[in-house]
Amino acid sequence: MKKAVFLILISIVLIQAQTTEEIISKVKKKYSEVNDYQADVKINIDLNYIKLKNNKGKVYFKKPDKFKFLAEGFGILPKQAGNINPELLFQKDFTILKQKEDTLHNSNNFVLRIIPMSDSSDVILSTVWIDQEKFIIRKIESNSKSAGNVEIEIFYESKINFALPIKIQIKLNGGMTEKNKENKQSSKNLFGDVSITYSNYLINKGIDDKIFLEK
Amino acid sequence: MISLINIEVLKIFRKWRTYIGFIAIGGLTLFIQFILLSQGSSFLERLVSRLDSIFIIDGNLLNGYFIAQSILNSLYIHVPFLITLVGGDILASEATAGTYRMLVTRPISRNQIIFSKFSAGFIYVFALLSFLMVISLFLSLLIFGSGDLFVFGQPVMVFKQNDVLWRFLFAYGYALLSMMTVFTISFFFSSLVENAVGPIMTTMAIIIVFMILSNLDFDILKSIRPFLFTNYLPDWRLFFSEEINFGELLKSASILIFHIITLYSVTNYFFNKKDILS
Repeated sequence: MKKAVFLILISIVLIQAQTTEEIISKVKKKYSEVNDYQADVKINIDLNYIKLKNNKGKVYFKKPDKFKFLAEGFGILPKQAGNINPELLFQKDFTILKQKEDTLHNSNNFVLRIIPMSDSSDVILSTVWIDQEKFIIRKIESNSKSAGNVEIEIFYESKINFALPIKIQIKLNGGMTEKNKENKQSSKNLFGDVSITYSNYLINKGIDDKIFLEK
Repeated sequence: MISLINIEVLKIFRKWRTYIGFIAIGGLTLFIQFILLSQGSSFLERLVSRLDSIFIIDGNLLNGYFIAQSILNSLYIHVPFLITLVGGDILASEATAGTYRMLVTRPISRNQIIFSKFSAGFIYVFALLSFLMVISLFLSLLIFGSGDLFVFGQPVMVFKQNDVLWRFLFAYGYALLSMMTVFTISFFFSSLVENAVGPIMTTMAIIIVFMILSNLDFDILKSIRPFLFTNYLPDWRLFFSEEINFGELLKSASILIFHIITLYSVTNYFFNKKDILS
């Protein structure tokens, strides 16, 4: 009994002792296990500006950052949630702080705050929930100049091999940039929910680069 | 009765003014299709660019359904005016030509005359809308192909390809009811006078005034609006909404049917009382 308590205490201390760099490095390592993937997606969009049900398509990803969405008929996919890529999320020109620990989807998570170093960055502040055991991203809250507040919750299979989601739920509460006939930009309110369901993953089977070039 | 209706249909289609509607709709639709065929992609890119900042967009929106919906949207205000050209003429032209006396002295009742003329008018309206459907929907599908339907509104709606055709068929069905209401108004005015210009202009004026009153956003007009038939004419658009409000559609359709029945009955009454001797 004493031994078990000691081991738990040691593991808590070790977890707490992890620096943000270590956490991010482990997350990147977890995500780097996926060289490429393709999956079927079903997207439901229920926003004040646009409604689109049973929007189906395929998504393709190839390292380091190639991403393609091909819809059945016409389709749209939110840019911020279509591809959860820690290489893009944790960039060097950001300051990352470990804020707290939190329970989410029945798992303990590190909560990291990402603050951009540059004033010109579109992102104002992001908060990321990272599973302490599996080092996968479970939630992102982002505040950006172009899109306002975006909350992304990411769901995985209970026994996961790869850091690939089965479902992503997005809450938008902000705006979007609109171009008028004279190409002048103006912003418009945009709020509502988007959900993306992933299925039929093909992981690390190789994807032809031609797919990413197709218009 | 059928031969009587046939004769009335022949009378309508032997007049040059009957074809004005077909020529106007045909010409405009072909022109829009040509413009979209040559510049369609840039037109749509501009429309979709609103979504560019947040969404990855894939797929072609320029298809037969999109074009048919755009044409229907832009023509529904003007088609009533084309209908009045025939509706306003159908009875008044008999008076102008002096053929009323010849018509009513034949062994047919005045009720039969009114019914046959009204039926011939229905066939004309049906033919005009069928022509609009063939040229704007089926020809557009043939030229541009099929696809998902993008409806610009608040909010923007996207309907899957397999969920579109029935909406169009019901929308055209409702449009037939709307246009028959317009026809019956001009038919009614046509029974009162001896020259077609009056009923045509009066019906047009009523439509214009009522449409303006329907669209003005003044509080005082909110109580009047439900009594204006023009308020219910464009409700075919309800078929292009996410969850169709069948209650609202049934109410609008009932009001239009009420207008048709009432005006038909009043026209029939006036025609039966009409003095054709003096």
